[in-house]
Order: sequence, then C-alpha cells, then structure tokens
Amino acid sequence: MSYIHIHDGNHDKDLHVLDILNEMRRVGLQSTFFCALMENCQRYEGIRDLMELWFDETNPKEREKIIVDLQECLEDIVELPSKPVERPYLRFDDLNEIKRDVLEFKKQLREEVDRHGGISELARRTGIPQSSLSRFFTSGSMPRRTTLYKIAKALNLPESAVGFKWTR
Amino acid sequence: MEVVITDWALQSYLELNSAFTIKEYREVLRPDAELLYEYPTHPKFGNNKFWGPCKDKSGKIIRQGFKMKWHNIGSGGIQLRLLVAFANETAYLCNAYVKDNENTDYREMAKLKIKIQLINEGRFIFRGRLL
Repeated sequence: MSYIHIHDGNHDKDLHVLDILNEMRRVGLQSTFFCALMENCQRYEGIRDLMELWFDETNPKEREKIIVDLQECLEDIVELPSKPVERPYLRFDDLNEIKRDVLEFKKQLREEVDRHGGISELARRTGIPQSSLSRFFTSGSMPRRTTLYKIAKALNLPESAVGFKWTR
Repeated sequence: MEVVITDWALQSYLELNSAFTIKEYREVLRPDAELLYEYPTHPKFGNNKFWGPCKDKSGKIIRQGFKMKWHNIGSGGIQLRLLVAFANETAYLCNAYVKDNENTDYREMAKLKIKIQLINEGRFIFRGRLL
C-alpha cells in the first residue's frame, strides 16, 4: 500500500497504523471501510485505539465486535451534523413498544435481504462490514436512515420498502 | 449541572432494556443517574464502587469521561455501566453497556473518546433532559 501517507509527527505510530490497515486488507475487509478509517484515525484517538485493539485481538468473535464498533463510530463521524440536533423526547413508557417495532421491521427487511443473496452479498454491495450488518438486524436500536438507503440502493428496493418511523 | 440524554444513550437503552427490570430502572438506575444534578457534592460520587473516571486500555485517564457503575443488576446479576461526558457545565449521558469482560470495557472507552470529541465539536443528537 505505497499510496498511503499518514503523518502525525510520530513515525512509529504511522507505521503501526499502516500495519493495521494492511492486516485489515489481508483479512478481506472492504476498501471503503479501511479508507474511511485511514481518513479519520489521525483526528480521532478513539479510532486508533479501536484499530489497535483489533490488531492485538486473536479471538475472531472479539475482532468482529471491534469492527462493528468501528463502523458505528465512522457513521457518527461522517453523518453527525456540525451543530447539535434536537430530536423529540421519547416517553419511557413507549420504549418497549418502539423496540418491538424496530425488531419487527428489521425482521421483515432481513427476509428481503435473504431473498437477494443474504448478508454477505449485501455487505459486498454496500461496503458495510458483514459483522456490522449482522448486528444491525439483531439490535433493538433504531436503524440509521442512511443505512436503510444504502440497503435499498444495493438491493434496488423502493423507498417504501425501507420506510420506517423510528429512525435516527 | 444540566443532564442531557444523547441519542447514543437512548439507543443503548433500546439495546439493553431486557438486561434489567423496569422496577430496577425506576428504583435504582434512574434515581442514581439523577444524582448527576448534585454532582459532585452528593456523597455517592466519592464511592469508587459507584463512580469513577474512565481510563483507556493503557490506563490513561480519559479527560471529561466518567462512569457510573452498578453491580448485580437483573436476573443475570450483570455489571452495568453508564458512561458520562462532562462539557460546558453539562453532563451528557453517552452510553450504557453490560461489562461482561475487560475487552468490552476497552472498546467502550475507545468509543467514549470519540463521543467526547464529537460533543466538544457540538456534534451530537439531543434527546431530552433527565427529569
């Protein structure tokens, strides 16, 4: 990867980042993912910490969790606007119902994904790591609108297929 | 001290809420979180089993980052953590998670560093105030 140039004044640290990125490429992580890491690892110490945790980790399941975290953090970094955004307050008593709705919506979307080749094919088409997509479909948290649009685009689904009221 | 619920905290609640009972939420977790209005004078903030600074894997203290700790919560007797970032006289509830091993803590600390940076940049989603 001779085209990568990262400089933060610490040559050893730069080389270590390159080692990590090379290893990520070697294990098959998609270029869109590690390019996003490359763009943000200098500015965000937490990104570097997660990358180092991933590099030092030998357990594949733990490594997958770190990839999920990295993807989530990258989405925050890229998508959050430059000023605080105020979203409506949700009543505590409504949260269980919201979670049920979220899981039901994701279950239906997952069925659609499976009809189009499954998670691994979706990962290939969207550039989102497979472990992140697996987590997406099982988590009770609200889906990001941008993720839903990426899925719709990848599977050529109409907007109505990914329309959902509880998004972030 | 204001206490702000960020979207990160809301989403982590949605992921977690089967880990504890509503009774525990109403009688233990929420009242403890509301103590942040009395930070740092309430005596519980002097109890290191309940409250402490966040540290990364290398042991370095994460500036502006603190954690609230609960032990033996829910039927599974889990260890629950709530990460709090302080900025501009405000406590931001950032993320809650089950501490099942040290690796989880290391990952959450790295993520907290990013959230603190984003909060300092004014880049976060406000979901309301506690109370």
